[in-house]
Amino acid sequence: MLLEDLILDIHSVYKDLPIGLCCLDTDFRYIHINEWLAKINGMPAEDHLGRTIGELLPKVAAGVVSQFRHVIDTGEPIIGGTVIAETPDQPGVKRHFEHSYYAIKSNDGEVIGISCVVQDITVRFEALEALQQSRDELEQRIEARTATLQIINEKLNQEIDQRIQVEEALRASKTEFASILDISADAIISVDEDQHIRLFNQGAQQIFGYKAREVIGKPLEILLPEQVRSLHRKHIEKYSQSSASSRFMSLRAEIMGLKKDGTQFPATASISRIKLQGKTILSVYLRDISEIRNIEGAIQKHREELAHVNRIGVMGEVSTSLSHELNQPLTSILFNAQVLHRLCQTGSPFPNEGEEIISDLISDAKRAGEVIQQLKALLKPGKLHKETLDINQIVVEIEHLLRSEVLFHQINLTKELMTDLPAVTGVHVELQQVMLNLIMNALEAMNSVDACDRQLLIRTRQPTPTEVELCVQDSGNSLKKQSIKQLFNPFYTTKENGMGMGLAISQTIVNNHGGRMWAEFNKGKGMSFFVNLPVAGAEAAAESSIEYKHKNKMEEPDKSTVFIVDDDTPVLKALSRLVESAGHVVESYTSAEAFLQRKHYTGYGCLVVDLHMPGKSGIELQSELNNHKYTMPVIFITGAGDTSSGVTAMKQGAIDFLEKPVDGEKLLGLIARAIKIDFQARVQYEQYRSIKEKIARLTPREAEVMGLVTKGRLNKQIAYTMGISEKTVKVHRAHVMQKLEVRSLAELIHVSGCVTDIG
Amino acid sequence: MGNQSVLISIVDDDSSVRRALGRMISSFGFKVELFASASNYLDESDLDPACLILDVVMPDMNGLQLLATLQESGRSVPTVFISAHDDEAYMEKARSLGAIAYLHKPCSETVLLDAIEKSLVSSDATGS
Repeated sequence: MLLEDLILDIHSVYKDLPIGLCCLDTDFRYIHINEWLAKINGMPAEDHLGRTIGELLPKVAAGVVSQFRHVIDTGEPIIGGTVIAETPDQPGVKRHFEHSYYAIKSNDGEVIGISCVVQDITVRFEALEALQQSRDELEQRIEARTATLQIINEKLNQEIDQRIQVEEALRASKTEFASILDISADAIISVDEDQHIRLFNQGAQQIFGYKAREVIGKPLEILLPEQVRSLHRKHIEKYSQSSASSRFMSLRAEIMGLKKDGTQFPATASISRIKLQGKTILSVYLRDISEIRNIEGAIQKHREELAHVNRIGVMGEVSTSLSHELNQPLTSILFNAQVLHRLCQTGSPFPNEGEEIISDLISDAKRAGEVIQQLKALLKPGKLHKETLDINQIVVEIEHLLRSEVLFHQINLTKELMTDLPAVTGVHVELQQVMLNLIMNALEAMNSVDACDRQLLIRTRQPTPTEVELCVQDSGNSLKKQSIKQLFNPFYTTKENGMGMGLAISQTIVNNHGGRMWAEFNKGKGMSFFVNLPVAGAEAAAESSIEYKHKNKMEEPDKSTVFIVDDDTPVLKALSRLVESAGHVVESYTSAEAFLQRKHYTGYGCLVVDLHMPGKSGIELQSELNNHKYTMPVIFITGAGDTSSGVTAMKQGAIDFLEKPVDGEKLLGLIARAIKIDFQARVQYEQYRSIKEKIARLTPREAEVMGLVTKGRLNKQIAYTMGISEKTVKVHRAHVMQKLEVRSLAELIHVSGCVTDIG
Repeated sequence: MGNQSVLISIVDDDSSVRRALGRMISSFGFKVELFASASNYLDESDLDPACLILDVVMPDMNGLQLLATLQESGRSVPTVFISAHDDEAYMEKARSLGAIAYLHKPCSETVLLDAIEKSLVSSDATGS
């Protein structure tokens, strides 16, 4: 078969395929070429025939001739080569071709030609390239991502390190905290919202005698004496649920604690409230103060003993007066009795002269009795109780006592006592003692002065609305060289037999009464000693250190009611009449129960109640009233000599107590004072209530800011603590000031202090 | 015992003691005049008593000063001091002034009467 025929057969098959086919003879002449390839070459197929590739495509030929030669020589095909070329039918486009060259062999195996197969692989190539590009991109992205991941990983590692540090610190502080809890000798107890114990430190275990596991989960009240349990539970409940969310609110109280072995002990406790993850936790800090109480008790006892010794000493110095005071009435008694005796023997002295004599006998006996009472009171050691006193009256009492002394020493005594001097609260015997000391000192000082120059002036006045001042001025020879401070030192004395305690003790007494004592040299001769005491009812006002302008003026109330409760009907009637005569509205009841039946009284007033009554006693009534949030002042009437009940009453907050038979004037004085106190307390309570309301209007954030501000933190610190900006802090702060209607930090602190005080 | 013509004057600032003394001495049968103070006596007594009973410690002028004043002005009379104070200095002064007696309160009527009688005897002796 001829080559041409063979090729034609094959090519007619492949004519229309998109694939290039051609055959060349051993001289590289085109024997056959298909349409596709001819198009590629840019010439009709017929024009190829018989011409060499070199002639037609010199450039291509240069590249392929050696390969052709190889195929012809070896008879082995060369498959899969590639070439990039531009073709005339698509000028400007770089095309990729894949070509394979095969040897055409005759039957004998002789190579007679070359068959070429060409494929346009541009698309394929581009796809490959794109694939490669995207692979490259992917790798880049992966690299970048890896880098990022590395950084993130590093950061995480850092965070983990930090977290580990923080955890360690937390652990350390937990340990520290736990050890603080435990080192603390005081009790730290935390309870949950239901007042069950969750935490009970070493100190608590020591103090109460329980092991922690014995009390965890049990109610807090097992640590309190039975009779106060419900009271405290309510108090704590109220505090724990109170709406203001500020963390800084706390309750402080002096309580009696109950140990495991059943003994009770005095303690101070303070409760703080923390909101933790929506739950309220109460933390109780408690300190056993039995030791302190013992010491206080010892100090008090010591003070009383010392005062007693001083009193006796002073009394010794006034023995002249005393004997004089006693001897006068005894003289009269003796003479009168003897006259009466004789008259009875010789005839009847009655009715007239006898009556007169007997009347004198009685009054002289009473007079002697009073002197002895005074003496007894001054000499008796022991419990001193406070009552309302008139300084002017005490001056008169002491003047009376010292009348002979004054005359004996030929002193010219002048009194300038202010009329309507307000009353003070104090221990009668102690204030008498102070005055005694002062006057005796003055007398001593003037001994060395000529009799006509001995001037003693006693003056009382009210230098400010809340103070009463006593001045004892002498004209003695005081050594100006000595310092006034020295005078008040214990053991300082110029008397031969003096102990030197008088002024020191007097000053202590005055200080304990909330007053002060000092001395000055006069312009002329001698010295003046001053005693300044707070007006009764003004002691509480004197304690507050920040001035808060009250929006309401403190006025006297005009409508007030006095409630009198006494089972003894004649006494009840008499007291009612007395109190009504002083202008009060009176409501009288024969029993505590009857009084409690009355619907709740909302005006001003006070309660006068008998301590001992069948059924509910006065003390029980007082306790019941104390269970309400606020009650009116109570004055107790006790049986003669029943001081211990009176003291209990005072401890529970009574204004005062009077012994039967009741001194009308004293009672009216106490009532007036009680009503004033009630009025002022109610006004104050109203103010506190309005403050509390205003505080309740604060948002939690504002309340938090308020808490920190009143603790003295700077805005910067507050911002840091709360994790907000300083600007926000300022905004909160302004809102707080606005809502509470205060204008300065001092007012704010005062207002917040007021609220914590009442809990 | 007493003689209504004999005047005894009493000076004591304590009203109850004054009254009692007055009763006592009246009951002895004497005439009595009562004075509340030394100046009261100096101003208002017209007759000199046969015996003067004086309290010692009194405001303004005490008993001793009164006697001294009387002696200076020649109105001296026998004097019995009766005092609630038993001060040595006072007693010494009383003695130096020539007092008949210095009695301590309280004293019984007998003691008082004795002293009065001694005064009367002495005044008799001096012929006043």
